[in-house]
Amino acid sequence: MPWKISDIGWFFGVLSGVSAVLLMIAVYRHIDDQSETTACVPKLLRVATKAALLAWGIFAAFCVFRLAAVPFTYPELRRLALQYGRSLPSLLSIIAEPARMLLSAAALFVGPYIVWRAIPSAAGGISPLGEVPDSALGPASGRRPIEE
Amino acid sequence: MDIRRSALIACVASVLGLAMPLWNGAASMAEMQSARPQWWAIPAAVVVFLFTATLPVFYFALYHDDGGLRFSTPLRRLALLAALALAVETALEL
Repeated sequence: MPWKISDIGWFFGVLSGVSAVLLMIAVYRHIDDQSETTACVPKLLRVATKAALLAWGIFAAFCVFRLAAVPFTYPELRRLALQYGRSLPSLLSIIAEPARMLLSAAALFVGPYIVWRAIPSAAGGISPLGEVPDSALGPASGRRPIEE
Repeated sequence: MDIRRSALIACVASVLGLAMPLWNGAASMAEMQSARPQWWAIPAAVVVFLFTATLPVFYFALYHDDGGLRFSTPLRRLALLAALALAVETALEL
């Protein structure tokens, strides 16, 4: 039986989920073999991490709100179902969909969160404003190191 | 598998995985706009697109990083937990 467009979309969705699982496992298995010196983190990663953290944080918060709102929206759904003579889905199935979405959003939020926490911000690394301190730059940078 | 390689795979897979839902969403939005135009529809679509694009861009940035990140043990455990949650969610989809 040939695949339809929707099947291809579903396949890529599953592939995306599997690849995110692989990435999280890679983070878990990551063994730190660096020395004590703090490496510089590219600006692209810093900005992309903050943007993803914000976007998926908002989405995860929305999912929490949506799940928390189920007990309040259920009586209204029940009233509408009775009004239009439709059968109301069970409370479990109404809860399951937002819960699944919350699980997915929270798990995808974890990736940017972990990287954000791992980005060095202590002295000697990157400053909290995202700039490389003068002391970390070499003489060729054209910036004069701060005298101590 | 190292983080860089898996981040590249995740980047490509998330672009492919998000392309069709975004396309369907845009088609529905265009249909709704032609039937009953709403001023907020296009800005909302742009915001949704930008929000969605943050994850592939993040994965690409992670791939672009040359391994300067160090993850503490609690963060690594959190990653394992997220992997389990995503695996359950993906298994439910099958």
